[in-house]
Amino acid sequence: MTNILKISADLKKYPLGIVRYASYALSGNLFVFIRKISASKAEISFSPKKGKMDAKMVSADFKKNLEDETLRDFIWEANKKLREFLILKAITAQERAPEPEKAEGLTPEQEKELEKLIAEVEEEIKKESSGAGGGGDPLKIKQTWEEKYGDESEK
Amino acid sequence: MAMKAKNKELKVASMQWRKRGGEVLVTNDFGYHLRMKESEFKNWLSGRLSESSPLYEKLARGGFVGDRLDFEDLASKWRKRNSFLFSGTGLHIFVVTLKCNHKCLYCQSGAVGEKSGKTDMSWSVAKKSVDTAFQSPRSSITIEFQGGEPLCNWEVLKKTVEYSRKREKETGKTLKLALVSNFSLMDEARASFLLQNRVSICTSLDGPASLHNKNRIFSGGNSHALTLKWLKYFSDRHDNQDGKIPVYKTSALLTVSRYSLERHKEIADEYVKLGLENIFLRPLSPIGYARRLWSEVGYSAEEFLAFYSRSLKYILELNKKGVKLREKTAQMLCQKIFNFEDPGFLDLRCPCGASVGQLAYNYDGAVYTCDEGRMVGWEGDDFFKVG
Repeated sequence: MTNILKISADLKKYPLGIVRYASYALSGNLFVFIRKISASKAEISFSPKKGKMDAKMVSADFKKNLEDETLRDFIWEANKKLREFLILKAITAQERAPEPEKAEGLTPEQEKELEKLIAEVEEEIKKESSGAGGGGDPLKIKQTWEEKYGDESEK
Repeated sequence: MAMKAKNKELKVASMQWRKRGGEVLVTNDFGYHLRMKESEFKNWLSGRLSESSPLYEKLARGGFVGDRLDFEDLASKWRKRNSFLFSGTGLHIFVVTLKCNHKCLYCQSGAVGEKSGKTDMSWSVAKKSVDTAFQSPRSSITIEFQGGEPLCNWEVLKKTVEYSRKREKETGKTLKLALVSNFSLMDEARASFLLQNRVSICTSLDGPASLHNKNRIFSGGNSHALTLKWLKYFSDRHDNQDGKIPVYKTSALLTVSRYSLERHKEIADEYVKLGLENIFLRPLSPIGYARRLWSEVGYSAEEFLAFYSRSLKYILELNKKGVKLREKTAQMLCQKIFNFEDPGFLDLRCPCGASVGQLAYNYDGAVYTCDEGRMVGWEGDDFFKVG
């Protein structure tokens, strides 16, 4: 049992950011002080907030956290583009437009428009059938039943 | 573990994790979470977890497996959880006065005595504040009246309510009005006006009389008795409303002081007795009087958490017996964890609601990121002042 534990970390193996996260993961019960000694080495001091600490346990916990943080960093970097893509997709997604109301039949305007179109088409057919002096259909093949024999109701 | 993962094709999507007691909780930005044994976690990361196992299937469904991501689902979950980012500032807090007739031990709002002058919001400032609030791009906004005790500046409060309703009609926005009051200056005419104008009402209730009155010192009488009187009044109006003008259920806020720590059962029982269905166990903020009296009313984070844990356990026991009482923090966290929703509580957002979710309009016209920012300003640091 001791009151202060100093651990050095190889910054070539573990970047300072990872060392920092791994150290602060233990800051619930311990005071943490990180000092960069050289470009490749940092020293981390741990001391208990209350009572004494088990140096072996702290050392083992710190090592585990270093591994965890390394993995976190790796997963974070490896998924960076995918994560950005998903968030961009979420941000730029358009709200779904409300479904149009189901048509319950034609509106009066639509009915008028339709009747007008039918009349235009019928007119064109008539013109075609009577075209070129009306001699284009001597056997009156293009004539409808009603045109030939009149409407049934008329009988 | 990391090296093994590097040697394989990575199938682990972006995630966070926390190890505790042989278990690992994994979460991601889209709101999914999963608990597993530490051995299962290791197997998964090292590629030894069978893709046909139920755990792998759960991981895939939660967006944790890199090559089995449902883009539509994940993007939609993220958007739902962060919907507040797309809508503009919704909560507009009007500090209509700093005057208050209470001397609560934990007061953080910078309240001053009733006779202190120059801390009332003027009508011109109130009107401009309403106009500013209505500039928010949101289709629905809330104006909340706070203080001090807002009823100390009744005339301006009344005019502001009327003007806000007028602006609501003009702009077509939906407006919610809310008042936080200790009820000590409430009377029949004021209550009636508030109900007519659909103002929802919230008060402070710290528990049974002995505790409430110890925390909330009121020289003008019994704070607890007045609170109960008006709580009953508004509850009766809510329960017997005629349907013409909706009457919202009155709610109460609890502030936990050192004196509350051992009285969790009495506090919950008091809320149940009064027919309140929500209880919000809020810790003290070390601002204002609370900071100065911290040695008397304050406590450590561990002490608060122990209190919270005891209280929640007791509330859940009550729930099992059929008693309706919801603890707000637990409710909001469940909403976030299980429903992928933002409950609208600005302190629990990331980023927090400062400016993007709320604005606080001080009595003198200064605008702050939030009411807490305004309180820090009152302490002498205007870092959170935005206008």
